[in-house]
Amino acid sequence: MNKESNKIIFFKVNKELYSKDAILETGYKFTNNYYFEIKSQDKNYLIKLRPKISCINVKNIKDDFLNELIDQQLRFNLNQKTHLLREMIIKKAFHPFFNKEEDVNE
Amino acid sequence: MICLKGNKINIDREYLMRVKKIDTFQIREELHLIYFLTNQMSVLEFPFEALYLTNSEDPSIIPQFKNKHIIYGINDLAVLQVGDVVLVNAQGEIIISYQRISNDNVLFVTQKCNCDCIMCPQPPDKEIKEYMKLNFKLIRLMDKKTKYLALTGGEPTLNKNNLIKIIKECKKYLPSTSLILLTNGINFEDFDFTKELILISHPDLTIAISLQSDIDEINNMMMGKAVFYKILKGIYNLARFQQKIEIRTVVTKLNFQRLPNFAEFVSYNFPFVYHVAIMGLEPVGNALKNINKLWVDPYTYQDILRKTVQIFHRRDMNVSIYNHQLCILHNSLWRFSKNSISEWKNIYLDICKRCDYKNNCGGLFTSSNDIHSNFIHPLTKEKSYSEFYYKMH
Amino acid sequence: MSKYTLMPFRFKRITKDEVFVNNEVGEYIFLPNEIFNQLISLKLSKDTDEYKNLKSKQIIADREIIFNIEMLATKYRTKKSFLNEFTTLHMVVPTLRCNGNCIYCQASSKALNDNQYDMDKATAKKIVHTIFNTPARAIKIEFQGGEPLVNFEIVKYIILYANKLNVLYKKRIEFVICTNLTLITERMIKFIKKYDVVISTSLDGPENIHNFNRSLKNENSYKLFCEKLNLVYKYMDIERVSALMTTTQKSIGNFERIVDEYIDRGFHSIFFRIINPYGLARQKLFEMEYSVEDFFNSFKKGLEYILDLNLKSTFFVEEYTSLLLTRILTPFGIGFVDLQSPSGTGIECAIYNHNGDVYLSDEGRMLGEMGDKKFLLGNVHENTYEEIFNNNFLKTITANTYLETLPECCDCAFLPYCGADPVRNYLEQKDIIGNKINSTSCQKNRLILDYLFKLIKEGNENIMDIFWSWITRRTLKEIKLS
Repeated sequence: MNKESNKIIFFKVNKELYSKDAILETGYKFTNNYYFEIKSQDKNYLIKLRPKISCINVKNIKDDFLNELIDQQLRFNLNQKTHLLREMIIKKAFHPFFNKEEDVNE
Repeated sequence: MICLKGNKINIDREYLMRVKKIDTFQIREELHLIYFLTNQMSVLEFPFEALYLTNSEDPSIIPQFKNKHIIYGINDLAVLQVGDVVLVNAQGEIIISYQRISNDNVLFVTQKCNCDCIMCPQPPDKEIKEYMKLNFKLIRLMDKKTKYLALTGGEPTLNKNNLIKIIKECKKYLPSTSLILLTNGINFEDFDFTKELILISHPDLTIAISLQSDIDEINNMMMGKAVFYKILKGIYNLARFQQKIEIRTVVTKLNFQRLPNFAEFVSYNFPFVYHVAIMGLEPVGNALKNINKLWVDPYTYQDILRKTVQIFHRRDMNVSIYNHQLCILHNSLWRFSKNSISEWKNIYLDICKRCDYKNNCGGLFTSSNDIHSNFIHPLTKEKSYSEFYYKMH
Repeated sequence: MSKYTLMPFRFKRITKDEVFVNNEVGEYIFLPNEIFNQLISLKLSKDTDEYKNLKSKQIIADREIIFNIEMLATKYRTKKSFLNEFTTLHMVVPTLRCNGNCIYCQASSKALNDNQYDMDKATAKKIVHTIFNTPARAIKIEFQGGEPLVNFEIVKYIILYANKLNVLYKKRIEFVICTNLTLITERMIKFIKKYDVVISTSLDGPENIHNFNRSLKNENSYKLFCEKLNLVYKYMDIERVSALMTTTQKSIGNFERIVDEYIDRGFHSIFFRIINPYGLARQKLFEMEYSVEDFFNSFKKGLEYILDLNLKSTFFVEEYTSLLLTRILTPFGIGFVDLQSPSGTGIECAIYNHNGDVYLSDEGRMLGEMGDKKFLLGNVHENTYEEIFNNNFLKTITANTYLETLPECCDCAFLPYCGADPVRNYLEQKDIIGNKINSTSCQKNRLILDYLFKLIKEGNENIMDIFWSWITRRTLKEIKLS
């Protein structure tokens, strides 16, 4: 049995800068090698990452997480902006006479 | 159009006539040609009118000519063949409207246009002529074995009803003639018009649409109006009916750099297109007026052209290069080059006399005599690609 | 500053300097980081080439948003064209019996003398009727097993009955028989040739690899295979026979030799297949454990070797690459069931077991044979066509395999080129959606797609010409410009 690591990485992420969805998506991406935990604490989220096996190098894990978080937040924001258009594409693809021009906010 | 001139007798209005018979006779070592023309549309039609053309300087020597409609003293008369159709006007000018053996016959549906293309070789005249009556007669005078006929203008779809009538006439009187409609495609944005045209069910109709770029800024700048998206909608409408579509693009300084992007755009969005024609500029009309904005030496864009053709060819899409000379084309593109210039406006330069490939090459436009690539040069059969190109790279 | 709207797109950072961006149908562009940042902050200038390229690929739009949507919708519909015809691939299992002992066997095959696992005529007839209920105008009836030749009588019966019924339905039918060839006789070959049946067989490599993977009792499997293949060639065109391989530990590192073997046997294509975690394979997992990375490294070397062969004028295709390239470079959809979103299982293909049970895929059937009938759609003796193909279970599977709505997949830039594999996910993770990080098919596809895009970006003219020769099935000579 692998020795469980006692190297736990804690850090805070500002709630005003990052959405919970983005943080969860990012955390999900790390679940192959880490146990991921998130707690709410006033204006921040408290992130806890614990490597599943001891030999993992945790040196840059916080930076990697934050970099990935920026991209996930970006995807979240882009999705907010474009999801209606995406839905229209798919609706029109299978229901060509669907016409909801009024719904598009430019 | 080729226009012949002579002296007229008894001609004070317009006649649209077909060459029925050519007689020759020898008078004192001079060969006299007498052309007998009629406007008879079918063998059963009576009465019909007759008209004579001759190269003779003195019509009195020909006895049949008494009291007839005649034009004499025509120099290049031999260019006319039996079956050709001419429009003779009140001034005695003979405009060749149709040539039986030609593959480049054209029907002008209208001179009016809904665009103002910066490279248009035939911008609308100030005096707009009415073609419809003439066209109906012309269709009936054409030989039924005519292989190809182009419908053009101006913009032939401008009067939708007229166009539909003409295509129906072609279907009725020229059922085995392939029609190609040269259009900017804008009016096909109208779904009902598209449907009506398709419902004619012409057995062989290609719709050739002019598109100059993959983005609206460049296309609209070249066409003088904001029509890019209308054209795309038109193409989609035609595709919905599985209509055979060709895309034509003219290569100019304004759009040559985006040719590969254009190729990707067309091949991804319109993979159903039957043929793409990449055309060299004809420096006449608006194109001549704007030549400084438009002219780019074709020799200099060969790499881009090759990349563009490669995009279509890899995807097994038909692509042709029109109006480019072999000596300036990259060797690998020769097989896509077509002899596209109508005979009556086709020339070769003096320098071309020494070229071994003159017979394979389409030559230049008459109007290109002064405006053409700086790299035109004769090729010799030992070298299978351009010496200049080899030296340059 | 230009005013433009962002259309739906996905992105992936492929190097530290560049971002891979694509639209809803997979039209892609590579952007330097700086340009990408300007793009997303709506600060990209319209005078730049990148702005124009992004507009051309409908990643941004500055007018006619609705028509841009319509164009994307048309292309999207084209990509999903497999949905038009509903079930086109109908696999039939005439028997579970097999003479083979393949170490990865997913057929759960039964011994040769065990007749209870054969399909009878009544079931066969019912199956053909069920098949013809499909709205698809062109269908493929593919015989699998076990070893179909063991119950060749039923194979013949089905082909003849289907042709007879087709006089009424007038569909285009293609017949395929998936066989190890070792039991084939001249009479069988003549029948197969007469009815235009295509043969799909398995060749895992040169003798040592093939015999290790696909042994037969008391026979040299490889030698017998070659003998029978030559017999087939006496009567049939090479074009009517194709082969695929399955990768085991023995195959890893040897893909080039396997390709050589294929060329020696006269084949023009190969399909590098990763192992399926089903059937006997699971019990013997410890014997052939290799990682997805191992598979990919061999795949890459094998592909490079094949590209080199093509350059030297041997037309030879790696079929999985060809499918992915069609997805990446053309606006067209593909018919490959395992790479669809929503999954093709059940809606594009179905499999009819020897006893009339209908499953949504062969892997689902395997699971059924092992006791878990989760993916059973019904039985031809007990259920109508509507009950089998229009039930809630199938609708749930379809709804849950639409990548555009699944976590991780929905944001992945490779979505337009990828597909769902619900049965594999269920087997590996007990969940048809599954966690992508741990999914072998996700790992495999990501590695292969990364590699293919690297080649496409490099744009080597020869390699791109070879790729297009595969996509359009023309020779390299026809494709090459000069």
